[in-house]
Amino acid sequence: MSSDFINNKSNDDEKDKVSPESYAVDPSTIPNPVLQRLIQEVRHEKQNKVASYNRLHNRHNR
Amino acid sequence: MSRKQVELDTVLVKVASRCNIDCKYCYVYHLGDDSWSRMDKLMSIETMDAISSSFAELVLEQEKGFSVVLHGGEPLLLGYTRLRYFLSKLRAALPKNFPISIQTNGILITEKILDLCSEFHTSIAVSIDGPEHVHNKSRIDHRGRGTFQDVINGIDKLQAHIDSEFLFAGLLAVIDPKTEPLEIYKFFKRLNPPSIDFLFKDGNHTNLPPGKLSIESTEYGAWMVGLLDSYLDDSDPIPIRVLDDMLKVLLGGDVSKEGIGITNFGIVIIDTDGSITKNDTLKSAFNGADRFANTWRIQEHHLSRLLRSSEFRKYHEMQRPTSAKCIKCPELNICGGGMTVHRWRKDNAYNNPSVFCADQLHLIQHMRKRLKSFGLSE
Repeated sequence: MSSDFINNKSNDDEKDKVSPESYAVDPSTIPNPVLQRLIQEVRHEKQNKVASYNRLHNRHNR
Repeated sequence: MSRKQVELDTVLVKVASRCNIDCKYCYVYHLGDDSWSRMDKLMSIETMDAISSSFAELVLEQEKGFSVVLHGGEPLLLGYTRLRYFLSKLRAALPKNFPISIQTNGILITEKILDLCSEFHTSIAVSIDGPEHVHNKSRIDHRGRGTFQDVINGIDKLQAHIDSEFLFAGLLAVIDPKTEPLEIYKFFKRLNPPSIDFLFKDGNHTNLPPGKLSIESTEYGAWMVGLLDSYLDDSDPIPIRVLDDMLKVLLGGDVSKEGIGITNFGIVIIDTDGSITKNDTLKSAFNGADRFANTWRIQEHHLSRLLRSSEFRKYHEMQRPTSAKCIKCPELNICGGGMTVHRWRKDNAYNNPSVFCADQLHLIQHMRKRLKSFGLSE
């Protein structure tokens, strides 16, 4: 959603940022289970724009 | 932003306007809004029918799917018979891949309710704040007694159900910044939920959130840093949604949560009498802050008509911060300016950074440091 806005803003955010290509890193090389999972999720979401509406758990009003 | 019609991703349906408990920090009953007192106690069959019909039409009109959350008050006050009626109508209107879930305090969970939820593919998330001495400080019943053991009994039933893998959606906790985050994390790990989410206590620039001494202080940020460290240092962690969302933005991904990142969400609330409102968390700013200028009722107005209206677009755009500090902030794409309601101040409404701005910056700075230690930075 709102991808135009996201793209416009991301060009402005240059300060000491984590690489937006972090999802391209091989997750198995990162020795942390949380970060491994998140990198995999980001990669998966980049490849498959499916179910982005689907808040899989803890659905509430925030 | 694209000018195409906004699509909904979440519809929160308040099937009961009252609650069987009386949490001290509740934005519905204790932060100045009194609309609950004029509501029907429970949603009527006619209103349920109108909602189901409207959803069936929206399924055909929207490209994207949407989630439906039964909320309250306490949604399980609806009782078995009415809940059965509503879930059967909702599931008939919504394909199985459209999530329906219930956000409950867990006390009224029974085997029968769980069977019903399983039958209509409806998941359940339970609110619990931590171990007994933490939970019972705020989550009390109407006689002032702690509800911890009753909630644990509900979670036990949920986990024991044959369909628990689907039914148990996760736990939701409200943070008390005076607690020890590692203790809270370990407690939740022992409960073994599929995931946890944490919320800040509501507040704004005029009425500071409980536990926050000043706009500049970082009690909540420091607590979240402690939680992040507990999480990242755990060799077998359970997912924490709020942290996952922020970390995923830092890793180049998108978010699933309003109030983080710069993804706009399409959220409306259908109140117990069928009135359609903005995100009801806005209630904690001032009485009636969640109401549209015009009266919208699900019995009379189709949801797509509301979505095309200028006042809905205006409400939708409120998610983006307007203050100069946010606009030029290099971290805006991470925090998104926080929840709209947390930006409110009596003299200039929402034209402010979040009251949690200092907390969020403190947390983001620590996240960057931790990511850098894993080589995940430029």
